[in-house]
Amino acid sequence: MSTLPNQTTKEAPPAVKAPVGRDLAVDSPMSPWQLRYRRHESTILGTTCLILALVAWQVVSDTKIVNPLFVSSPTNVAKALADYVTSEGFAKDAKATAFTFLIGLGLSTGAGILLGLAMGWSRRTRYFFNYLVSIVYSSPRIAIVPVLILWFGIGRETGIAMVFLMAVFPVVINTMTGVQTVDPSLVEMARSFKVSRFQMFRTVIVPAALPQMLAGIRLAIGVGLVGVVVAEFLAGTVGLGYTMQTAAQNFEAAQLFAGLVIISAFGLIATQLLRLLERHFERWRTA
Amino acid sequence: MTSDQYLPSESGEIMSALAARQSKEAPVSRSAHETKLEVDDVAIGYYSERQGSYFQAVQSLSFTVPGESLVALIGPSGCGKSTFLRAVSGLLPYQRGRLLVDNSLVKGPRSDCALVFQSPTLLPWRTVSRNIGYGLEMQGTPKGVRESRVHDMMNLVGLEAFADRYPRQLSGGMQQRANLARALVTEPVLLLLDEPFSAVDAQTRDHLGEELLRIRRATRQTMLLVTHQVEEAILLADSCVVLSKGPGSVVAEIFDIPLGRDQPIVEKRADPRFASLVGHLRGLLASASSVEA
Repeated sequence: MSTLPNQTTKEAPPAVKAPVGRDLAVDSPMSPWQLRYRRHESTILGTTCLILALVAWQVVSDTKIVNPLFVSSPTNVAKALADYVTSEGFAKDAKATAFTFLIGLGLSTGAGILLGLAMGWSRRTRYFFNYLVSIVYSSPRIAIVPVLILWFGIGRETGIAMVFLMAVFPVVINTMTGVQTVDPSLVEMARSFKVSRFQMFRTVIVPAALPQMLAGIRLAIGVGLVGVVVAEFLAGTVGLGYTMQTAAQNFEAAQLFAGLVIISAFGLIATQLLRLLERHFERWRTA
Repeated sequence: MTSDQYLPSESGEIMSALAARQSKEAPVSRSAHETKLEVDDVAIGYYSERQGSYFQAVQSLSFTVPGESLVALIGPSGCGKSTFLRAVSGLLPYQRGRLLVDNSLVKGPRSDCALVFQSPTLLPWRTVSRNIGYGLEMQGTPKGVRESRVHDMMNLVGLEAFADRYPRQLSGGMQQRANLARALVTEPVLLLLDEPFSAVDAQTRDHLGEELLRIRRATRQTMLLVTHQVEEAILLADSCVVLSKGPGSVVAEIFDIPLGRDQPIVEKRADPRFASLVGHLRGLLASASSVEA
């Protein structure tokens, strides 16, 4: 201990720092336009790439370098998209696909979190399920669709099962990893206060593993969409995937791409909603 | 270095106090309070998963902590003092002997014992006030009672202005105060401190030490402090239990620190007996370290 008699000053709190990014030295003072560009650089560059790709697509199609019957064109896709969205078939398709997807995602999230928490927390549970999870996860699950059709028939149930099989693994694995990487000193701290197992999960394990869990759900959204579309291709009677499959068989490339755009939009919306949730739970990080 | 060269003539009374302390039947403290912690021939060992080997951390420990006293447990690094503290708090099992907190046998984590960790171990997603109230919340203290006790505690440790901040917005010293407050607010029979000031800078450490003594004057809290800092032990504690070097630590010596428990740190440091006590303890530690177990 160093000698500092009658020290009464309290330590000052550290300055609150910006949550992301770092300071980059620039070689000359920045003009307002340069500053504006720099702030939105990622948006500007990303959008430029998209526009260039669309233009190239349009050019390839208009100049008939490639047969437009197979590739369609951005304008035709836009037209097909507008027609499809306003048709009565769209509402039915979107509803069916969304239902299958959300039920499957809900089931896989619920089951995946429970199994992931158990496997992360208990060594024996982890050992017990380890091989099964690894084997099924590394197998090409798309190939299981015929088996699922055998079990569940043509229709919604096969779709839900497929989404579940696709989406449950990222949730399980991420949750498990999240629990395993919880700071052991926090667990010990909680134990020193004689917490129950439920309290341990509620106040330490789940909040600490939450970022990983949400990352797992985000991956699950992506692979779950693949699952629902593939199931509708092979075993659907209705839905966006089914309509796309029909369009492909009829050489309606524009209709096919329109379906693709809608499914992408679906995934984007779901991911953005999840990001809002992440921000809500992570507000202590940026406070 | 040996202990003798650090024993000037005026430390005669220390030695007599020491002698009294070493005879087992002597009264353990000036205060007439009952014993809050009784350690009787306790041994601790564990299996190291990393090394695949068995380690006997503590061979045989026996000492007591009287009510309202602050006992420092000091020993060379690797002597198992932190491990022992975890056994007292019920986080680790012990192999032999008896550990009694408030005259009841330690069988697992208990709500009348609170641990102040070496690192702040605050939950980063809870505000400071909710971190301090964590133990009370887990013990089911009603919200109203909890909030008023947390409020009073934050005033005591000087965190009242930071109630709604998150831990990462606090300096290391303030995080450590919150760590202390979280344990204190449960009003434990025994407060266990595991090198609580080792992770902060020297200036903050001195300041927090003074704070600890002030809080102790205000609360009359019984404390067991694990440390490897000689000066910290002398300046904060009423008596000192010295452990031998591990593995298989035993109590090398127990002695009182007659600097006046309510004296401020500056006064204690200026006391002529301070230097000799420090020297005596250094000597003990040096010889404890050279003992082959």
